[in-house]
Amino acid sequence: MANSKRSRHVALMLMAPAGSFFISGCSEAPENALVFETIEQCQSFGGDEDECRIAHDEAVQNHNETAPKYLTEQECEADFGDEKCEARSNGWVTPLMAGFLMGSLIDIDGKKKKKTLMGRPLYKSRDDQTTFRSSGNKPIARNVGQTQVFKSSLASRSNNIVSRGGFGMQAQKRAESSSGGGSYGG
Amino acid sequence: MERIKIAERPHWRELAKELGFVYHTFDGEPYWDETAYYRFNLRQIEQDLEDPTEELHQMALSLVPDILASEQKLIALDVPEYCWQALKDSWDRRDPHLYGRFDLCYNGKGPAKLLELNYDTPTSIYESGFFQWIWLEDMVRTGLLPQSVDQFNSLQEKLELALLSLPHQKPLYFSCIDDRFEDRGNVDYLMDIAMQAGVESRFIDISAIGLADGQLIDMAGNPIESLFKLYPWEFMVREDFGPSLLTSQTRFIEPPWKMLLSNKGLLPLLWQKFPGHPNLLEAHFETKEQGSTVGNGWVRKPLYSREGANISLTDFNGDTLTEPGPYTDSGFIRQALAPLPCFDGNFTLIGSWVVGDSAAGIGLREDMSLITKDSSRFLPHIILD
Repeated sequence: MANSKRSRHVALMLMAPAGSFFISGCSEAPENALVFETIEQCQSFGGDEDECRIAHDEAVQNHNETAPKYLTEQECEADFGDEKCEARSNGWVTPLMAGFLMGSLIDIDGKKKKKTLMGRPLYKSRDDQTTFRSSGNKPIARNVGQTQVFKSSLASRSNNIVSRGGFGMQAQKRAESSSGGGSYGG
Repeated sequence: MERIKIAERPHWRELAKELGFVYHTFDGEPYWDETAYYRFNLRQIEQDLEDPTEELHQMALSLVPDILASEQKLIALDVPEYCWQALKDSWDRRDPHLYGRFDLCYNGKGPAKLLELNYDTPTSIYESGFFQWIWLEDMVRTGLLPQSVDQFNSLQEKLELALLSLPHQKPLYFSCIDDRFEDRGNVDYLMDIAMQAGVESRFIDISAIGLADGQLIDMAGNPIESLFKLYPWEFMVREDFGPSLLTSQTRFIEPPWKMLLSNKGLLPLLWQKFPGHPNLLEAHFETKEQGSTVGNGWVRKPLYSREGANISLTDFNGDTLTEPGPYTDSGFIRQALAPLPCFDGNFTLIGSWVVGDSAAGIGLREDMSLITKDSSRFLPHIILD
């Protein structure tokens, strides 16, 4: 509608698990993809060993290029968790990969198979150990296996030094817990 | 403007759960209610709600320098003296503001009347901006409403643009009291939009914020330079960390100057500056001599209160309705009564949103009484001429 008084699209990234985004209008379409922690897990989901290894290697390559960089292990661990970081030969400290994303194989004419996405590294933050995130800190999935992603959410940052902390949400519980009703908004 | 009954989507509760709408039911009672919707025509939306909302917003903004220049007004609004200068600085810097909501009394005809402003911690943003949008989409998709139907709801689009344009240092921290489901849902939605816009964001419980050498810090000790807080300024400035407003390099959303506009004392100040304005109700500060009883056709509201708490109302017949609550420690104002319109036995309030300086949509609340509360149901609306 030309003079619509509505948002052209609405969407959720964090509040809904990946795959149940709501988007309408002229936005990009999500693509099918797979999330695994290891090559073995990829195989256990029926993946071909070579395909799993290639996607993993692509992810590692991409990890080497795009992983968030920190000056100290302490800073990195503040974001990704204890012993979830490693010092690299180039002097930076980067988080360890928590898994990798691979494009799903699609059948073309029932014969050839073509991957729709390169393998990408995935990370988990200290605060939110359930969500796999891209190197650009976009939530990708909460479980291993099938998911849907937007290609734009896989873009990495151009910054050389990322001084971000807490890659996500904190489940900080108050000592004095209330029933959860009520609001300080209005 | 009419109320039209309609069948609920059979699976909306599962959908709500899947989409993070955890407070759709409140103490076993429905909060999100799609057993009916409200229909407006475009003229009602544009002339009676959208335009007045933007005018009221400009009127409210015009009061900020007046208040900051007047000790008498700052005292009348019960703003602690120690933070006056910080408020002035915040206004002089033009610290950007994100959003607010006017509560309006409107029955489809005549001017909408401003009942109050929620300009610091407005809620119901998720159900207004997202869930009622999805409802309309489903209604059109399943053929229950025609393709030509529209909704006054550009919230998500305007919020995304506003969050993207904020000049704040990143990351942008989002904060509220974590275990308040409703507040957390509102904050999660805003943070979700910010992350979609590519704004580096993270959540921190308001009580987990630390203070070191006058600077607010996160759990890891990093300075918090940018903080969205769904927690009232009037609480913050009276708590232990209040004085950090003078020392911390933090930029807040909403900014400190918004403290002045979330105060019910703004209602008499608006009336003083714009007496007889068609969208305003007569209002005055309560004097000590008046005591707590109000005359017929008047409402008594605390300066600081939310969700209808501590409001008492005497109708034109002299019957009084009082809502209990915890907001008894501030002054009060008196406002002329504009009874909410009644549709099928429900009293209906219109929340009209402002994002930046633009009107951005509405959300409707229904209650069985004339005082709208946190338990009042939220209903979707459409525009169809």
